[in-house]
Amino acid sequence: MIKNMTCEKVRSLLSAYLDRELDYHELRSVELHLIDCPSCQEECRTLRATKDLLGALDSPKLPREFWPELREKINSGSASDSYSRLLVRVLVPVAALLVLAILPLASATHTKASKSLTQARTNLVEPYVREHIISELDRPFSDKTSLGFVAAGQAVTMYSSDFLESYDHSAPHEVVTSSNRAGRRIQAEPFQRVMFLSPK
Amino acid sequence: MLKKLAAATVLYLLIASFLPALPKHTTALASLFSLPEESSGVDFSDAEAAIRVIQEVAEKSSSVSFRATKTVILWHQSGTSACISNIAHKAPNLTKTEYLPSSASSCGFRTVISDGKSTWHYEPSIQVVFHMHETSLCPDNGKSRADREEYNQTEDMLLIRANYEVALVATENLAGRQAYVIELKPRHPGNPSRRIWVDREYPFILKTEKYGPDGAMSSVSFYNQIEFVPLLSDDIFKLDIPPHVAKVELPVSGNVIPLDELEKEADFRIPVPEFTPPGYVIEGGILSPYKAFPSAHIRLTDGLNTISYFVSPGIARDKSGENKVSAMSDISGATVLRWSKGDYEFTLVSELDESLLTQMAQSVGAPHMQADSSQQSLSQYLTRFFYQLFWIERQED
Repeated sequence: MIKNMTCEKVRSLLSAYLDRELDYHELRSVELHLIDCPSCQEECRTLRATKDLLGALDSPKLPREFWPELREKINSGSASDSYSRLLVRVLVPVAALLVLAILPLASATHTKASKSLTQARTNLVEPYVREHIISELDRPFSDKTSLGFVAAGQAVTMYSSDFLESYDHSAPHEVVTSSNRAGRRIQAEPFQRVMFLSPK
Repeated sequence: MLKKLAAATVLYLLIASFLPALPKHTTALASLFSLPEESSGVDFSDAEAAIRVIQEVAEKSSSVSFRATKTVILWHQSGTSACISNIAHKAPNLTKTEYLPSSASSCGFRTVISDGKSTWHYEPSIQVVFHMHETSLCPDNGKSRADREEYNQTEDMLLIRANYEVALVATENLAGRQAYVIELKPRHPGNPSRRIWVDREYPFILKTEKYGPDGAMSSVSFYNQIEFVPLLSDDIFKLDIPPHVAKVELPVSGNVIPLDELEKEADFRIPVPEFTPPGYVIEGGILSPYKAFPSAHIRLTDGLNTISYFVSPGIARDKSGENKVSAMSDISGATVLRWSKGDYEFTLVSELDESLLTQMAQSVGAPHMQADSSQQSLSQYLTRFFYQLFWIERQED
């Protein structure tokens, strides 16, 4: 379930968030927190910039003998492996029993937590209004110019509020939407779907 | 003398018999679209004449190519929005709209181009191009917008007949064109009404005035000048944008499906309001394309207007506002109502009277989660846990 997150919690998840490693509920919690928290947005931008910078660096090449040596070390085993095996064989089943024992309690706590769900973090209505306007376009006497005017304004509001993210600044700079009698159809390459509500 | 008199009588009779037919031949299209005749011959009490006119508009307006300048003015609680635009439409699907700068608008030079399959919206003020596929490109959708519109026209016309008094109230000149003025008054109180000006030669709306449920004008849009069937090159539907402009892909709505199918597709229960405003029927619903706002969008219509009812699980607000309308605002002329119940949040968007929407909101029953996602995630967690446990054991062996 979606939870209210503190800034501290959100910042601990930012790296995983940018790497798209969060599960659905964590992702939404982080995104909804970011809407209202300029300092975390700034933190997120800084982290993203750092990651981009690091990502641009060349990865060092591993020496040829790295993988054979690693495999040898894994196969040879060590004293600590025995302890690990013991832990796995004894402690893990005990842990499993404990989990089963506390399951009803955990479930109750979880439900309670979900019931104190998010506050109205956002009064975001633009996506709903936009969907409403798009559905109005199907009506036979709809004024498409008026509706297009409003829908375009909603898109700009959503983008300006960081709810929509641009995907590629270096995409082709010509968009053609036409076809001739011979059936020639020229279109710009379709843009990839962008993440909605992710920070710029 | 008698011969002359007989000849004059025959000539007079011939002219007299041809005269009423003459207006019919003033334009071939007028006769093709079987619109009512000149003002002298229009029977303003004939509701069917008005129905015939709007039926033609519903069926054929997109088949009329034109180039025009249009003004749009919207009144809402937060102020007035106005815009002047240049529009070129090449039947059946190519349309380009350029919004011109004006003192009452900040949307100057916004350009929107649609080819019936995609829409590109270039916003120079923020250096962005928004792109959206039409629903017809969704893999699960067999109907194009044109097909959908055709289907809706039939259904909507039946609903309009039932829910509105349609009357031909006048003929007027507008933008150098002669037009029928048609009024659509709701039979049920609390609904917006509309007045449209339909060109007498082409099945085309030249002007629309919309009035809110309180009778106040909420919007007006009209053509300042229009040229029908112009020569339009495909090149004008081409959008050249600078290389540094950002591209944004807008989410695409799915196909409208019946509610039972929608509930199967969604992993949550969709409570249906017990009260729907008189004259409205549920068209069906779609799942919201915004992944951060998983919600079902149920559409209701009376033929002319739409109510959008959104059910969003798992993002409920503060419980202090439960069962009460937690927000009521006027966004771009539409009223937006939001409230929460259980873990759900609900949103209604429409131009109907607020009291009707509130009544509708209050009739929504308590939602029951089909599969509680919190328990689901816990069970998934345990499944993963035991799977990993056995996997480790197997590896160890």
